[in-house]
Order: sequence, then C-alpha cells, then structure tokens
Amino acid sequence: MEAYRYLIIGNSTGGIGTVEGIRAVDPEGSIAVIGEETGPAYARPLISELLSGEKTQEEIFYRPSRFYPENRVDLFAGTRAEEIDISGRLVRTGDGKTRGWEKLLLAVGGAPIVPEFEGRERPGVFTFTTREDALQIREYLRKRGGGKRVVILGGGLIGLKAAEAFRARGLEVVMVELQDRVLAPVLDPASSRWLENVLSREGISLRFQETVTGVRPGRTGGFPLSVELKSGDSLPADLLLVAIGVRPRVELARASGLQADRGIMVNPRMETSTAGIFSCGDAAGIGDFFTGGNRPIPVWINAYWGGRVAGMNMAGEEREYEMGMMMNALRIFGKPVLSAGMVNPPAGGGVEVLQGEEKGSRRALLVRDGRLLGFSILGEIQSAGILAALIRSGAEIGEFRPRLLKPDFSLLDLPRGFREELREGRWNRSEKSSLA
Amino acid sequence: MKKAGEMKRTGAVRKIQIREEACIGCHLCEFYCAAEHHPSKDLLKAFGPGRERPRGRVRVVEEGPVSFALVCRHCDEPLCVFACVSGAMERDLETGKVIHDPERCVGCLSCILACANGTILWDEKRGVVAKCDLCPGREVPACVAGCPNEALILTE
Ligand SMILES: Cc1cc2nc3c(=O)[nH]c(=O)nc-3n(C[C@H](O)[C@H](O)[C@H](O)COP(=O)(O)OP(=O)(O)OC[C@H]3O[C@@H](n4cnc5c(N)ncnc54)[C@H](O)[C@@H]3O)c2cc1C
Repeated sequence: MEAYRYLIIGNSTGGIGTVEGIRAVDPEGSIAVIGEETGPAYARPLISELLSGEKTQEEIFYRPSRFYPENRVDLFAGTRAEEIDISGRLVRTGDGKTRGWEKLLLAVGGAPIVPEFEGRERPGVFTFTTREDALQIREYLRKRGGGKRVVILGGGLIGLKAAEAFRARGLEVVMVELQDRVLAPVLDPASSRWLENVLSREGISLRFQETVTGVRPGRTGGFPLSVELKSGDSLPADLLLVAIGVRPRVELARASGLQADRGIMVNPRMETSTAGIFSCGDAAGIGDFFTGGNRPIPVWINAYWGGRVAGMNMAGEEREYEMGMMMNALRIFGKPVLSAGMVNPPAGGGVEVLQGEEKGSRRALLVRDGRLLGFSILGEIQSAGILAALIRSGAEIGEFRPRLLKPDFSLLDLPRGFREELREGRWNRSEKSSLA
Repeated sequence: MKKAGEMKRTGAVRKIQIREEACIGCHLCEFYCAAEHHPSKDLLKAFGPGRERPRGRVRVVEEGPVSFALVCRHCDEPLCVFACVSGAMERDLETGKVIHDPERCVGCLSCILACANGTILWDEKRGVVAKCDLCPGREVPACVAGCPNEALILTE
C-alpha cells in the first residue's frame, strides 16, 4: 500500500491551492492527489469557452503540464475516493486501491442541483459544471446540426456564462429565472436591471418569476423537447440547461464521520471536526463576516485561497483564512460586472445604499456604521479591489466616504496612512492592521 | 529553476518602492514604461506622430499637491494569483515577481477585484489585463530609471 504524508481528494483549484500551500512550507513531504475527473486540473470557469469553441481542452489547463512532476505530486486522475477510514488513516478509491495518509484534505467541490421535474432524465437536458458537460453539449448540438434554441433554467453566473457561449454558437437563448432578476444573490436590484438591458440587447430573452415544471417530447418545429413552464407556457427547444446552482458534496465527509451541514465544517485554519483532516472550496462551509453562517462561498478565489491556507497548516505553518465574503467577477458580453461582500441590504434596515451612475457604468455601495459592507460595480471597475480590501479590513470609511463613489476612485482617495497599509499588504482583520 | 505555481518567500525580492513626497507628478514613469513595453522599446518611436498612444503598466494619480505612481507591489501572498481562473497570473519563485501571461489571460477581471492596490490595469481593447513585470532584461525598471526625483526607487 502506498502511503503519503499529504493526500488530497479533488484535483481542481482547491486541491491545487493546497499543493502550492504545502510546498511553500514543506518541499519534501510526499503528496498525492486523487481526482474523479480525468487529466490534469483545468480552469472550470472556462468551460464556457470550451462550449463556445473559443478554447480547446489543452488551452484551459489550469497549470502547465510540468506542475505535477515539479511539485513531486502523484496524480491519480479518473478515480473517485469512495471511502475514508479515519482511524486507519486510509482512503479507498474506485479503482480498488487503498492509500494511506498523515494529513488529508477534501476539495471535492459541489454538484449541480436539478429540481424534481418530470422528464429531467430526458436526453437534451444538461447541467453545466464540468469539462465533460461542455464536450457532451457540443456533441449533442453537432448531432442536431447545430441546434436552434436552448432554454436555460437559472439566471446566475453559470447560466449567464452558458448563455453567452450559446449565443456565440448562434443559438436562440431563453433564460428562465425564479426570481424577478438576474444574479440576485450577487448584485443589487438596480445593477441586475442594468445587466438585463445588456442581455436583452444581446438577444437573450428573459422570463422572470418563472420556472420549469417538466420536459416533454417536442411537438412543433422539429424540436426534440418541449419545456413546460409554471405559467403554462411551453417552449420548443433543442436543449434545456439546468443551472440553478451547486450544492456542496458533503456525502463522503459525512459518511466518514466528519461534521457537515451546509458544507463540511471547518475552522479558520480550514481543519474539519477531525484533527488532521482539512477541507476547502465549494465543499467547505466557512464563516462569512456578516452572517457568521458556515455556508460555502462557491467562487474560485475562495477555493484556491482556502486550499493554500489549509496546505500551509497541514505542513505545520499556522495560518488563518481571511477572505470571509463573497467575491464575484464576471465579464459578460464584454461588460465588467464585479461585486463583493453584502450586496442586498438585509430586512430590518440599518444599512445604507450609496449609488452612482454615469454613462456605461454604475456602482452601489452598502454601508453600515461607517463601514463598507459590500458593493456591486459595473462598467468602470479599475479600483474595485481597493473597495474589496476595505470591506475585508472592516475599516471605518469616515471622511472619505463620498469619494468611494467616484468612477476614477483610486488609492489617492484614501488617507495616506491607509494607502501605506494597503501597499504593505495589510488589509485584513487581524491585529497587525491598523485599518480595522 | 522556477517551479510552476509554487510560491515561497524568496530571499532578495526586488520591489519598486513609492515615495509620495518625492513625486512631482511629471508622468515620465508612464512614458518610460509604455515605451519599454512597446515593441520598439523606443520613446520616440512609441510616441511618434500618428501613432496610437501606447499604454504602460504604471499610472500616476494626482490631486492638488499629492501625486504618486500606482504600480504592482509584487506581493508575497498575491491575491491576484489566488484569484486568477486561467492560470495566467503566476508568482515566480526565484525572483518573487508576480508575472502575467496575456496569452493565457481571458480578461475575467478576477485579479482586479482581488488587488488591494488597484494596480492591475484593464485593457478593454485587448480584453486582457496588464501589470508591471519589473522590466525583464533590464537591471533597473524603466520607470525607476526614468524618474527624475527618486519618487520610484528599487529596493532589495
Ligand atoms: C461554468 C462555471 C463558471 C464559473 N465561473 C466562475 C468565475 O468566473 N469566477 C469564479 O470565481 N468562480 C466561477 N465558478 C465557480 C468555481 O469554478 C468554483 O468555485 C471552483 O471550481 C471550486 O473549486 P473546488 O476545488 O472547491 O471544487 P471543484 O472545482 O468543483 O472541484 C472538485 C473536484 O473534486 C472532484 N471530486 C469530487 N468528489 C471526489 C471524490 N470522492 N474523489 C475524487 N475526486 C472527487 C470533482 O470531480 C472535481 O473535479 C464557475 C463554475 C462553473 C461551473
């Protein structure tokens, strides 16, 4: 039996961040990565470029091919970890092998949610979270002579990226969303409206407060599917893409006795309820600055950064994770859309929304007790990262508050002391920062 | 040899230090930077008549008596690298430089959201970001060499 100092389950950004975190501290300890998907890690957000045809599989690899050998990582790709034996410190994989570990990390990500509607198993109904999904959709459309119309259920990030890719392939796109706006969890309402104008101009038809109730065989126009909606309408289509979100894959962790609710529970060191076992990314529930809950923050930087912190702790260097908020970057039909922290004021008041709008650009900032809680910025995004740092720091924005709305906002708009701190990389909530 | 993606605190990392009180707002650093990153590497050719003004990776901001250059800090724990979805942003282990490969960049803007200094520039026209690369092949970066008042200095 092979045994490793560090064993990582999940070969995506969380797993890679962990490898890089470990190697920053321990150049020697043996590392293995077990990945259910085949091949080296790829840039999951770029599967839409694979779908549109702008990029090839090789072009979306996340790290150069020398990554695994240079970091002395044994990669076991194409096999799933089926069972974790905590007391024996073993992992059994689908290929029948058992491997030992001294420190273990789960970066197993999320699985797409598909509601229980009739016909959900029908050919032509897809989800969109893996490279394989993108390739299968392409193949399906190719067989249908390119296809003519797709329906996307879900107006979130994944649905929007897919919509853009389908438009690039010349397909009609109908987007069905249960809420009354797109990107509701990550944008303020006015910013959603701004973006919806862009989407409409790009030929995407939006159906709000609506959902899919079933998929039947097509009846008109040679379409294979008829997508039935709550309102009673039905949409003839080649394909239905279900993109309403992902849920953390907590099953393996739970079955092995780790605590999990909305995500695998981790402390600020990214360690689970069992010492020596860590988790990060879309599968791990980490605290959020504002709600304190332990819901995963399903974005790339969170998975990488959390993995990196976990890796350093696994290798013996004490680190705490400091992101603690949503950070969302998107460029859709060429339009920059960035948001971070709290974007929708909670019921009960106490949160002010400052807004600014110029041609081609808008921003909404949420402020409470003289501190920045979050923002949505569209168009002119050059200095959004400074605002994100201000949220993370918990700093008082006092006299310079009106300046935060300037479209050309920069370090210049902050007091000198703040600028120096940010230049030195001190922006977090820990005591070493005087910002907080 | 540089190890792909691996990041570690290296010994002597050269960094550009900004001295606000010395900056006279002349913007020369912008010109030298833009010229250095122009295929000609020549100020006159880069800014000659009839040519499209090249863009550099350093930007001077000013208000009243205050002015200074915005330029990448080459952080030890660079959030832009953590955020990069394509792998275009990397930290070179040997030099400590945070380097960006425009060929791999998809312009997702994640690095801009991550950078606490606002020093990664969005090049809308090319659909990729641009940032300071500390002028590979030069002993002293062009902006530092061209600054008339030591408002930009190189520290080890
Ligand atoms: C289409 C799309 C676009 C996106 N765009 C963006 C974006 O622009 N910006 C952004 O910040 N985020 C984006 N995201 C979200 C981002 O991709 C995720 O937050 C990130 O990939 C999470 O990384 P992770 O390592 O936690 O999990 P994942 O990337 O989900 O990887 C988990 C891996 O673990 C494997 N695995 C699971 N269980 C096992 C097991 N038992 N054994 C072995 N292997 C296992 C899985 O097969 C998978 O390969 C996007 C996501 C999608 C789907």
